[in-house]
Amino acid sequence: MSERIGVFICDCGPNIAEVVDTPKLSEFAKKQDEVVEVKIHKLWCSEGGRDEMKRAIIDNKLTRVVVCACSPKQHEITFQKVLASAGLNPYLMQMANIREQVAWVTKDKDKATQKAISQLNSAIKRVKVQKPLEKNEIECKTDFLVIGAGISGMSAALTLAQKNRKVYLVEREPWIGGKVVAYEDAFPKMECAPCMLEPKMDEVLHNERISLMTNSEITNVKGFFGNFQVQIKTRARHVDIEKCIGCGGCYDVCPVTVKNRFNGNLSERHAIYSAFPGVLPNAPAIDCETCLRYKGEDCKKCEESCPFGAIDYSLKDEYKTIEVGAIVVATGFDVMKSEEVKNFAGISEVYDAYQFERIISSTGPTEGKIVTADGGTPEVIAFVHCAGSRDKRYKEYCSGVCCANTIKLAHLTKKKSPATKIYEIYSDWCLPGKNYQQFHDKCIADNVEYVRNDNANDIKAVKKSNKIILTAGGKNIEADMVVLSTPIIPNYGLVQFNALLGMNIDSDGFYSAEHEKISPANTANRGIYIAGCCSGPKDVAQSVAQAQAAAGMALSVIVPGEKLELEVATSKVNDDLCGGCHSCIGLCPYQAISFDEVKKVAAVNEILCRGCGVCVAACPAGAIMNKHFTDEQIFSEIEGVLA
Amino acid sequence: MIDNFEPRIVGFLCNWCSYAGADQAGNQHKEVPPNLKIVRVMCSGRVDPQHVVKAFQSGADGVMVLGCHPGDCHYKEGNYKALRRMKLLEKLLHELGIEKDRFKLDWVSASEGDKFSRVTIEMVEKVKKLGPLTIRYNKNNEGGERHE
Repeated sequence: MSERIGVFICDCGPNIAEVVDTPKLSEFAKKQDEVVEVKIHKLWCSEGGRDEMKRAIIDNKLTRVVVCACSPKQHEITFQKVLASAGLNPYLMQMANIREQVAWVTKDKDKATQKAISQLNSAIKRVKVQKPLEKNEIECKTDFLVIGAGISGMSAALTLAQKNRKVYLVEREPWIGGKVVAYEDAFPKMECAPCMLEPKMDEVLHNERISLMTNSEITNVKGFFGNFQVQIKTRARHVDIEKCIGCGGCYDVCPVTVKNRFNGNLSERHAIYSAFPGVLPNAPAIDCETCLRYKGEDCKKCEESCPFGAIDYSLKDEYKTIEVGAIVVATGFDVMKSEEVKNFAGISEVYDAYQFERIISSTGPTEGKIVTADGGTPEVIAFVHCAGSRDKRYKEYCSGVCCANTIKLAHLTKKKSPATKIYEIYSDWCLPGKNYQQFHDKCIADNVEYVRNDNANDIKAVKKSNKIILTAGGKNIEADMVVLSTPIIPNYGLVQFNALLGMNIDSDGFYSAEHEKISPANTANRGIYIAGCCSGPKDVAQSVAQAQAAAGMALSVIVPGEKLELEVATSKVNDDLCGGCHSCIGLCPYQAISFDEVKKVAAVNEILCRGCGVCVAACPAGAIMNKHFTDEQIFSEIEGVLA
Repeated sequence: MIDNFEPRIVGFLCNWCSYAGADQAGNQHKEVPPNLKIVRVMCSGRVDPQHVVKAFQSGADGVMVLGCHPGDCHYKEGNYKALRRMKLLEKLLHELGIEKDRFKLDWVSASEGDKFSRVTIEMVEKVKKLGPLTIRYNKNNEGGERHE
């Protein structure tokens, strides 16, 4: 059946008509096969133009439309809407761009007209082989999953926990609060960190729309945007949270002691433990990897000591599968360990900033007292900026928050131990944003001695008797303690965890956003959003902002009672042609192609496909088709421009 | 060089950067040689070597594939795939007797109207020097045929 093509040529006021001979285009179009209607208008995109186009489509029973006008980037959607309003599928329209790419870039009128004819010819040839495409929609689950209950994960969960929503908040530790719960003061205003954190934690614990799962981890992720099935393993805590009042009476009877990671391994804990006083949820957990009972011994000491009968060894790990529409990943960060900075490796009393944060914390290993290994007050503490940072040998980036953090630590040291002489060894200051510079200027009054040095990673450090001698900035500093401001790095478990999610990771090991500037909370994996330091170093304010953005993005697409609208121009595999070579699978940036083990062919998931066509061009069998950019369509265009 | 020879160049432009860069050249009223005829694709990674060969077969004297700059691809990394593919294609074109300067892969961003103008002018000049492509595929002869 032959098509009935309408060609609509636009003068665009003088913009096109002054350079391109549009009546000549019209003459050309009229001579083409299957073209039944050709019209010139001074401005097709105007209201009058659109009405006239709509009438022409209906009156002439057009089956295809070519609009020979401006760039499709300008008005493709405008004219697609006209087709739709005339009852024609919007994908049966093709534009020939004769304004931006012809009239505005060509001086010679004859040449411009010739080029415009070529582009018009190509559009006519293409439109003949275009196919109607329908927008697909799918049902979706409206619950959410947030992974990580630090400040970012909690902020995302609280934003997501709107009316009629359920949010699963999964935390691998037995407690919530992430890294921020380890801090007592927050830079740059030195506000009380627990005061800002605790109301959030309290809300998370008591919000009935948030299902908090501590001591839990993700063990499997299936499905995709709109319909994820996630398996969560909750390790048995062996302590009944309902019965336990968090008195701590069970800790000291436990015969096992191991390093307490929460305190940077500077203190010890038992197998039944709370990492620090005041954990939430307020109950200890038994760490089965170190508990004697789970190594075959019949120790019952904690059970015997509990006056509330809260300890239950029979509890088993539980697996639960949940169905959610979207996932927010907020798996946080670690700081590079001081041992990894080679010039300080192996020297005792060298701490990273997180460890020192714990030293000065009233809930830390020394309950906030700054003492040397032999129990005395340190005479000299040296803070070293940029250790392990801004250097090709380590991490090339600047974490952006450690200068302010180091100033904070020095300031708190001065308050707690006024007699201690403090050095800050720095190479450059990075103090962007509100209040940071003022914070630095205020802390100069602390009488800290600033020593400028080229590169922290070239400082010579040796231990002589009880002193660490640092050669930096032309000085020899004899310090009792050294604190290294090491970079914020991706969580040590991120790579292993990512095997479940298959997200893009950047060259520094952080999760990469779909676009770092214009969609910082989205990822290439539709329906998976990122928040906080798992996507790069951030301060608390930036983390919370990204978390709330991630939640907002998820809320805006997953709406109860509404279906998810899918990309139209996706790719499709022809099962008869596919040889099952797998070439396309690894190429897809969106993990949209999988292998159908039953049919032994590749299968494109239309929910994830964005229609780039990389797989189409890669398929050695020509088995994959991009619905709106088929080979046939592209070939027609090529023939058209060259005819 | 043949006097008054006007080469026909086909440009495959990715929708997000280079096609927008071509529009930007228009917005800035830069010169773009009318020899260039444009085919829009969503991503330079969609360009199949067959498309390039087809263009030469159908009468193009030169072919350009323009995509987003490395690292800027709208689809993350389609342009890297185009890069790998086109490197191999260059070798094939050489085997077919098509001169190196008749094919160009380059990166033009949406803001680079001036670069779009420059690379297209350069392309036309180079192909003008080479003259018309004399090797064409003949439908009746699988091996192809050399003719004027």
